[in-house]
Amino acid sequence: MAGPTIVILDDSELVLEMVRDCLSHAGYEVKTASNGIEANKFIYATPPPALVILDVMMPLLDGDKKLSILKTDERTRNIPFVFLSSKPAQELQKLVGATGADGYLCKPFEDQDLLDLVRKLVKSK
Amino acid sequence: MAKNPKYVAIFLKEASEHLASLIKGIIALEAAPSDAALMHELLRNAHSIKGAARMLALDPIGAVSHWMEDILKEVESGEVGATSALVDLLLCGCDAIKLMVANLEAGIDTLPDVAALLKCLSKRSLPPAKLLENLRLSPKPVAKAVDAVNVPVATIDALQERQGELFISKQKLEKRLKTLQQIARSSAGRTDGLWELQLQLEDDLLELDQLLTEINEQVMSLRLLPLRTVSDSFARVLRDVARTQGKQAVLNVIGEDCELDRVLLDQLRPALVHLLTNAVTHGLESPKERTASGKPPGGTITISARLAGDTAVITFEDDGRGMDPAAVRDKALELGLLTPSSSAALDDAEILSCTLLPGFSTSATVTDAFGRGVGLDAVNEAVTKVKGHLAIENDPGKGCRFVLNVPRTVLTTKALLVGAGGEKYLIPSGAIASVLTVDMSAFRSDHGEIELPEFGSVPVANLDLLLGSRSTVGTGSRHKKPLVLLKRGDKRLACLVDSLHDTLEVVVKRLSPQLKKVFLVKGGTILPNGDAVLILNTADLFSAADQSCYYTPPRPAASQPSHRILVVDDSISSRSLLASILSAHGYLVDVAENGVEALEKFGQNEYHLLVSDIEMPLMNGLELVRTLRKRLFSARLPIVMVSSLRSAADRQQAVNSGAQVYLVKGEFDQDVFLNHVQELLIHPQKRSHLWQARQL
Repeated sequence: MAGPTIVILDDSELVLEMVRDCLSHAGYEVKTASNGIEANKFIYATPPPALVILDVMMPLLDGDKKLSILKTDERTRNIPFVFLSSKPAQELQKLVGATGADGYLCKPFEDQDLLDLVRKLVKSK
Repeated sequence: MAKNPKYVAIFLKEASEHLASLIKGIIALEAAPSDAALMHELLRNAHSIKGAARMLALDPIGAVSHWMEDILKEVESGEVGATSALVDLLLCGCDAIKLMVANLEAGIDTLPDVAALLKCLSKRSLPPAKLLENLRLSPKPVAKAVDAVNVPVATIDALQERQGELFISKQKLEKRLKTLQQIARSSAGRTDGLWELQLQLEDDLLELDQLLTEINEQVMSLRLLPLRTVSDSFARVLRDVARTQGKQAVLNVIGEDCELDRVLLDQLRPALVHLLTNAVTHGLESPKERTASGKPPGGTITISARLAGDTAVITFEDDGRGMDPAAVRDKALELGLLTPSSSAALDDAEILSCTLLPGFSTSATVTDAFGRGVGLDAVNEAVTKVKGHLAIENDPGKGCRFVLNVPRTVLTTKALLVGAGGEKYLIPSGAIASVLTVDMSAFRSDHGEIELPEFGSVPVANLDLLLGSRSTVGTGSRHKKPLVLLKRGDKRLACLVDSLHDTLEVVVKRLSPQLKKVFLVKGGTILPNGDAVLILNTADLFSAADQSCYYTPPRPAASQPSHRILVVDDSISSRSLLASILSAHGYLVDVAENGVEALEKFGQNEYHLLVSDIEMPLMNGLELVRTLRKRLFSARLPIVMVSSLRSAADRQQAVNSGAQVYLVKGEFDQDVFLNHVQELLIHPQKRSHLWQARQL
């Protein structure tokens, strides 16, 4: 049986593949999206995903701006969100504070760090 | 992180895309330094390369792209301006990344040391070329072979094979459906459920057919690429050449989405680069000269491409000094390319074509590779090689324009020309297993099969019957008949024809999209002698053979005189298609290109029916019909209009002018067409109310 669903939004196919490989081996169901519109399909699904990982620098809408929008929507405001970005840690920390995200992870990341963060935030069924 | 080859492959693809975008954008930035959207895009590109490189521990690439990101941030915040010097630095960074990516592509794992390079870059001084060269660990890429394609050919081949197999599968399904239909129709099998099922399967097969047609088109289009794949790199080339010569130039590309055959683009690329360097080197004046003559200091080079039917027209224009006809003339005389008398016969515009002759050059100084001659002859050669044509339009003092006319595709097919039923057809050589002559007197056909040495028993059919002819042109007492053995996978079909001709290399011209996919026809082509001939779709021939026609012995020639029909259309493909369909059914057919020609033909022969297009030059279809109706001999002539115009108003107009039947090309159905023709020939006065009512 598939584990909890995790959505990852990033415009880099490389990142999507690496995250998918890491998390699916650990038993999570991973949904990848390379743009915000694709991601909405998964974020607004019922039941909602257990966690959403957002890249920050994106072509159409930056991740932090997208999160602000999602936080105002009833359907999505309670989903755990984290940033995954190659911006420096202090900047990401500021963004977390500003948007109410639940955490962040810097690129490049160690598989173990990602798994630890996910485990912390995903409420297992 | 381990360098998983899958990840490296993705990285290489993404890095190349980001790099191309960066280079293009940085050059554009020089011209538009305050473009915020461009800035954001550039930052994102650099950031992405940095992120991806770090994920794979490709530190040197990460470091250089990080530096680029920092500089771009300073430009964005206004701390530094996007000066030419800064742009040079940024382009150097791109080149460094490009070299390192090339190393990876060549399979070299070692990462070069970029410390020295970064030191220069951080000090904002342009690193010496040597430092950059040191990064190159892979051999210099060899110029691509002229007939190479970027997509592995194996992939395209495999696709086409799958497509062929899908067709065979579809045929099998069609057979099953037929059986089912028979059962459903028989009184014993006639239950509601079965009937319903049979109808559903019919629908499914139609859908499948549609999908297969689309796949076919997509596979064909794999060979097409937009001009931009070639012109995107030109901005950089132009900048470099201009800088070397102390000139300023900007590139303007129009129609970069215009699609051409891959192979063609590959072959034209060096010619276009040549024209580019030529325009800068010889066409453009220095900024000082330009300002003195009232021009802006920077020159503009415009490349524009558009499609005109089966040809692509690429124009290459600069706003420089243009060519000097007098100088060209003098040089041509000096080089002995012209004699004084032949020179006198050529005017200033014509004399310019001398520049296309080998060995011609008007450059006063031979400096480096750019300075020597122009090799316009090389450009001309490249263009004629792809069966195109180059013309020069000169405006002394104002600029010069080169116009390249090239066929859109270099796709040629080998095909065998055969005669059947009084018409000629081309059969693609790839589908021919063998060509033989058989002795008809020894042939016995009970089961629609023929015994061939080497191949055993194969189904046999008359090609003209397969193509739908109902009457056989009398074969008389011919004892030996040529036979083309077709192959499809491991299926064989023997086609009897009337005559065999040469195997030709032909350019496949696809039928205009207005004529939907017509069963049995793959496309058309124009023979060297000017005749238009259809190329047969052999897969459909197999289908046709399965469904009905087998060999039948020649019947005595029909006693009823054949009807004579005139087909009028300015489109060669429409004309030959309609004519072919009609003559395959035993009608005598003449053709005309427009209303005027049609009337001439009416003056020479008697026709029983007219098939005409509407939109034609000189005299269109409506005028033709009206003229004919006024004349006594054609007042009651049955007329069928076949046009691409589909509105009710167009239809009504045609009917008011005097046509009896109006068919729309986009919905053309061969059987419906023939039914109308047949009906009208029997009842010339009948108007197809039913058809009109359905359409409106």
